[in-house]
Amino acid sequence: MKTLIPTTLLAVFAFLATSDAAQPIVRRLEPLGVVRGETSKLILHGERLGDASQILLDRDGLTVTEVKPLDDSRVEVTITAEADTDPGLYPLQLVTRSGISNLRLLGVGAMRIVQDVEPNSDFDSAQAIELNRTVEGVIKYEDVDYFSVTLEADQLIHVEAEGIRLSYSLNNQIFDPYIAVLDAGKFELVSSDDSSLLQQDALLAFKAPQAGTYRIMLRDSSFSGHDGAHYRLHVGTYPRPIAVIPAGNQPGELLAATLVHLTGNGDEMTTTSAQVQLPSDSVDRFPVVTKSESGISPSPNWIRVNNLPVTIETEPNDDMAKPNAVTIADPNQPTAALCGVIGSDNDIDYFALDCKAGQKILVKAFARNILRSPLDTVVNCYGPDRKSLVGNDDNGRQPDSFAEFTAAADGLHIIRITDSLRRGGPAFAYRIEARIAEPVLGLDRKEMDRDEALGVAVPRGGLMAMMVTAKREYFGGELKLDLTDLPAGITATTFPMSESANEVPVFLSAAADAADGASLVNVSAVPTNPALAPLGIAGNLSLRHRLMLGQNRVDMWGYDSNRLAVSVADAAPFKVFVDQPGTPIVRSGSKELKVRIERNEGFEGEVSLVTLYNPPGVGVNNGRKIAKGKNEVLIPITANGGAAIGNWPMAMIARYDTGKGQGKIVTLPITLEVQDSAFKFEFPRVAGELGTELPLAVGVEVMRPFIGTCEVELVGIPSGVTCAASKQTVAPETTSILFPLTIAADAKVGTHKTLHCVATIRSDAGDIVQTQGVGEIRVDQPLPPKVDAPAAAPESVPAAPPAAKPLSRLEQLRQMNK
Amino acid sequence: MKPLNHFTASALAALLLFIAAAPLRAVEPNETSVAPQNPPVIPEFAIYPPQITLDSARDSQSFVATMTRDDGVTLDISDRVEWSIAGNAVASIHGMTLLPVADGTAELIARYNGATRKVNVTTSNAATRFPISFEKDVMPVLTRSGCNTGSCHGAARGKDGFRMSLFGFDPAGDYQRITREIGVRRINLAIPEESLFLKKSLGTVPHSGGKRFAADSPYHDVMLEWLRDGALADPADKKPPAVASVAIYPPQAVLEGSGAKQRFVAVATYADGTTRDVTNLAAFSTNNPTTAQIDDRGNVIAGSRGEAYVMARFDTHTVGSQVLVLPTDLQYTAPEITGNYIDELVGKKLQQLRLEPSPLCSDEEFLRRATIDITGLLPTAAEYAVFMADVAADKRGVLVDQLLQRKEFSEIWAMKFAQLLMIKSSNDVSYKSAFLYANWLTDQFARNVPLDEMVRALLGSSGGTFTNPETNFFEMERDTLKTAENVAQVFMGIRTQCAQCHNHPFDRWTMNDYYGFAAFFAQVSRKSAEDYREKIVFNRFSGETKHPVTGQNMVPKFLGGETPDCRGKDRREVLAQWLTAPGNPYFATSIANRVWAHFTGVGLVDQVDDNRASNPSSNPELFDTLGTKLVEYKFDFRRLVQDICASQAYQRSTATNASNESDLRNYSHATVRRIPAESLLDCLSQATGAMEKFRGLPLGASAVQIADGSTSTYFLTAFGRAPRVTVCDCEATTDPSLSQALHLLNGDSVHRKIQQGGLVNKLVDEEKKSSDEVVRAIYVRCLSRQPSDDELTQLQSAIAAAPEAKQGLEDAFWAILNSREFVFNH
Repeated sequence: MKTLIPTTLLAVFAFLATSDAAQPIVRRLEPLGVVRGETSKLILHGERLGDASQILLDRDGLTVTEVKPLDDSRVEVTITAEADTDPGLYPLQLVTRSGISNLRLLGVGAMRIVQDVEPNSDFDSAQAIELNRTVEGVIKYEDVDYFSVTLEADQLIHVEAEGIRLSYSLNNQIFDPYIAVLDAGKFELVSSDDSSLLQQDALLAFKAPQAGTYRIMLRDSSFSGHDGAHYRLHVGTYPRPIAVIPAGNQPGELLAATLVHLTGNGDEMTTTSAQVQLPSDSVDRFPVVTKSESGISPSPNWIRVNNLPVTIETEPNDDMAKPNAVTIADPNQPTAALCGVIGSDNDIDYFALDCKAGQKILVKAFARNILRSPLDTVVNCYGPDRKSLVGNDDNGRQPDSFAEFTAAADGLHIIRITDSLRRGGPAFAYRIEARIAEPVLGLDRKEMDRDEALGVAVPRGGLMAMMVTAKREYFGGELKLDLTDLPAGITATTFPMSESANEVPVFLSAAADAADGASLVNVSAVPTNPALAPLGIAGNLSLRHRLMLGQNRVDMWGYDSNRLAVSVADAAPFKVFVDQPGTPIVRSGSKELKVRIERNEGFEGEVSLVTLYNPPGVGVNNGRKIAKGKNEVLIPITANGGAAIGNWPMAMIARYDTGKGQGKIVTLPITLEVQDSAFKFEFPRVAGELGTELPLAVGVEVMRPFIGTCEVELVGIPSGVTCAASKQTVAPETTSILFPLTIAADAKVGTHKTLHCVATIRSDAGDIVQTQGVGEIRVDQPLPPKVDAPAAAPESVPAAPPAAKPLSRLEQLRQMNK
Repeated sequence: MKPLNHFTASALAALLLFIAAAPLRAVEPNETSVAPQNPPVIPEFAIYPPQITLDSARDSQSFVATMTRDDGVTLDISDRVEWSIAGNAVASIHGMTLLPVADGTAELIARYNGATRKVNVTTSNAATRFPISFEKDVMPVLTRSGCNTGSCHGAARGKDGFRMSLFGFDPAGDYQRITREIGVRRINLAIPEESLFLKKSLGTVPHSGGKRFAADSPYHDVMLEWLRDGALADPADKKPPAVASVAIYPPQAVLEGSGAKQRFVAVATYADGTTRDVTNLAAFSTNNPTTAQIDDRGNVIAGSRGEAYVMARFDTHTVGSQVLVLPTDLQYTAPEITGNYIDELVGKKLQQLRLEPSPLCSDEEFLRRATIDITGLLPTAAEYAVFMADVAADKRGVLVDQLLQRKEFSEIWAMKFAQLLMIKSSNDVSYKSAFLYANWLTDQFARNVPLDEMVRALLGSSGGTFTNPETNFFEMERDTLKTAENVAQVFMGIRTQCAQCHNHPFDRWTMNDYYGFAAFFAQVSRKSAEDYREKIVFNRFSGETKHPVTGQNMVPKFLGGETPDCRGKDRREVLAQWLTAPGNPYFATSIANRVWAHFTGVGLVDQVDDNRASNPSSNPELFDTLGTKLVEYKFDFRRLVQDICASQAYQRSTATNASNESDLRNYSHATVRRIPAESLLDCLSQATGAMEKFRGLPLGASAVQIADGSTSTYFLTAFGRAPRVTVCDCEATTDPSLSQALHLLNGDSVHRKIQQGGLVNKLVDEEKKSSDEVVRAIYVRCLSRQPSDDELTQLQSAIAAAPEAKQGLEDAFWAILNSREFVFNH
């Protein structure tokens, strides 16, 4: 048995390998971060990296000068971080000639990097480090890492752990760092597990009570580390604000901000002032990096920059009768941002917003979202009569509140904000944005394969496609899509997204001579209805790169981007086409699509076909393949009785084995026309006895004229029943079809709800097939002949003597002894 | 009772002679086994009840007289006493019962052997026969007759088509069912005697329950009169008063010899101040029928030597009286009581029971016992050497103080509470939550946070289950009713579960009490936190508990206490304040009893979480005193542990003498206790030097430190580790089983650990010890004692027979770890 286990395991691994897509995967960065102002060599570890060619960067501040594959699992990247690059996380995606990798975050810091050196898992074997260093390491299962630092009396240090923020795991392998500072007596003087600012990552400030050596301990909060639990631990005297107040202003402003800091003295906090130059455009999430003579914060704080006029809270405003008046730019437009702090336990802040009757107002709180404030908002809105209109604690799984109300009367409406547990403190910052409900358009990209990396690699000389979905709020109508910044040699074909649909395919084709290249592409959409033009509705693609999934695939950490990676990939070894059908598909109808491939010399592999998407109500058989040696296959499709009538672009994705995984290419789109049913059949309920004949008259209504001939076939006839003329021709004026049924003497008795009519209209352009049921036929047993006298009782037979009971061996032995 | 001093058998005989010589009515030959002689000049006797009120023409009151001999033995002398009425002729004596004659006051006088005792008698409404009340008169008859028990009509679906509320918790519903169901059959107002309700009770028609009472019984009279009067319900505006209290007399009986008798009288007092003789309406029971049996008329017959509580249950009240049964030919010299306050109270009880305590244990035994009890580990060889060499008189106390400072002490108690609080990961509670909760608990004990403060933090907790791990209390059990039950059981030692569906049959708790208490937790709410593994527990300041019978919202009411004003407050905080207040009668005693039970093997109230009227403490005074001390110590239970460990009761030997060998509950000797599963595994790891590995904890973490109740090993499960499914203290068992023995013998724990630890190799190869020295080291390591010469000789011959000396030594090590002495704390 011993040899069986490895063999079985091997088989499993082999299966996994072939079932993976050919997309490259980056599992780990080594090192996890770089130092700004330096050029660093970075090794990307992963799979299918041997043909890596480029790195795509979604943020400015880094420059890649070389991408050098070392082998199929390692790529060396030479990267330079400019000296003024803000410390923080920088997303990168690796482009290879066969695909685009998952997105990973690279840390950029200002402090020297030190590698964790084992053994340092005991208090006594702590690794000595200097201050103002970033330690990189890994917390394996039940591992603990200790570092020792020497501090002067009253010296303040910050320790920030980046753990989950550097993670990549889609299978519930969470790394949740816990840090503590211990004195010589092994007492934890201060510790941190989760922090609202950094989610599951930890942050602490420590002021040394006396000069000496202190240990910094890092572990998983419940000893659940693993080989992928890598961290960066920033230890130093750098400033580390935990809140910026007010949390944003209008573009181009110089924000006079108050920064809230930990003091290292329990929960005590202190504040400093800062001037923050805001960007000239609106930014949903703007990083504020704090710098002082003692260092620079290793990760930014986040605020919002947009055109809303800001009202800053002024205490006292914890009485509904004395709210802060909200500044609005236009007396008819009650849109504003309210910034403040729930400064202490039981604090409540009230604002008065002047609204006009009939205005629908959306009130959205930003606290945990963007600002990463500890505040768990509760927002309540009251009318001018002080009667409650609406209240909200959490919005879905988000602790931030969202409320909407329609003003019933002109006047000052009150917005109340507090913490759900009535807690408060200097860092409990918030920003409330009140807006009039306006049309909003959001775009997303539909995932085609579970956990696929977000990027489109277009095979040279071929096509790839993606499905773009739209979310329209407060408007409707058709949308037009546009893609810009495509790599050279790639062109996009878009179709209008119909009013009734919320998704549409976008096709990208690469010229046969397109050079290697990749870029981050903007995808946007606008309504086509000119009447909506004055509203300036436009939507951009918003992508969520999931980096950490918990149990049941709960999204715990990810990166949001509004640009999509697109690259030119190696050509596919075949060309693939779907033949444009000459006839439409009707509701309750079916059709076969012919898919053909033209194989390149040497390609003999199997090609499997799945639909890019299904038009509403249309079903496609996704199990068909073009086998080795074949060049075409028919794909059955069906339309249900409610399929959406209209013309729909359709395409098939062809998947094939590249030798390193699965390759994909998309067919040119065809237009599938969906029409209403051509016929309506009415089935009578009929019954007949065994051995009789039974005529079945099916009513027909021809819904609209047709070209060609039409034949109707009765199918689903039960066993033992036959029809001499199961196929009959239908003319436009036909109202009934008579199917003569013969019920054999041995037919299956019972009710059979299986009868269907299949109507086929044949013309030069092709067939149109419609299938409709369900007719019911009951097959009866003839009644038995009447019996007058009871049958004579059978002659009684004397009962046979009971057979001797078989004896067990023990009983036999007993008998012998008697 | 008077404290007993030294007395001897001859003194006893003299006393008995005196009683026999008393010139009184004829005494039944078997009433006392020895005829009393040489009467005392003034006999010590009392009559009960201490006050008699007769409130209507229907009222009556039985009475009883008991005499207490100098040796504490009590005798029922009711029929030897001369009874008379002094003053106005307001009542008359019929046998042992007083009946009203006219309104007024008088005195019931008892004369016995020259002594006189008087009881005030007050009569009112002596000529008034109040109409029969359904709730006050009929319901008690039904309950007394057993009609509404769970096996009869009180079953959830009733019996044979007739349902009543269990033990009568819903009189209005019962009235409805009796009078309104099945038309005229159940009651027949035209011919009341023909009511099926009555005929079934008399057994004159077929009845599964048989005959419940006779036609000439007072029960029948009450029922018939009620039917004749029209089977009326009590008017809503004139409900009969509730029963305020019940008393059983005499409060204590010390019976001598098997067959001795004592009659008891039960009296109920109503909310309006009226009283009622309920001796013929109460249900009598005993918690120890081999020592004292009681019949349904309150007559107790003594059985074998021991202690029993006889109890009377009437309405929702259960009251008990202690009955001690002593042998007749007892040779007993009461030892001098020395030691601390615990010993005084234990000693008093032992004297009462005439038990002789065992002597104190040896230093070796004390060292091992205290170390295991306080730290869950064995004393090390070094600790053994230091302790044994110490000649100081107070070295035991010093040892206890040292042990209490060790972190293992906190860990043991954190584990015990983790069991009670059911700390366990599940689909709803993430491992991290369970881990943080257990860590919080350990930290509370390590920092010596007073228990009241800890419980207040726990019950009033709000916030995230990660950021405020104590909020997990409301995550481990989310059901409001069960949370309330758990709080009562864990922190008050009271099991209220019965009262969820009906009034508690053996305790005072009613459904009103139950739902009133549950209302404290009705406003606990939860929501998801940002991290999906975390929940936020908060008080939503709205939400009520409904009484399932009345459908009414219940106002929060303390169990056995008042109804506090909770408006605008977090009800849980109000409850926590009351619970942990120094005057609370349940909290401190319950916690102290748990501590006591940990160190002595059996609680004063046993089970420790089943404190009820029908399961009284074996030493009520000590039970109360330990609670008082805990309050005095500001809930620092380390100080209580110091007291307990300093007591002789704790330090006694496990060896028994003839008088105390059957004593299990009075601490006359120490009990031999199987070491709890986690500690046993830790001791095994410690003795062998082979560390265990548990999920989610670093190598070397002890079994006691396991945070998550869902983490277990075969060893722990086999040895009765608590699965943490309920809050019951009984979940962790130390009952022996075959699988335990087989696991130690054949399983991998002992053998693997001996191999892994490599102790013998170390002792032989590194420390160059001789075979004798190795055996001695193993003895000290495992059993904290030196081997006897006999043991040494036998082991050495076995070792010599082994093919290799080291193997022989390992075999000896294995044998010692498999000995009963190792797995027991003694």
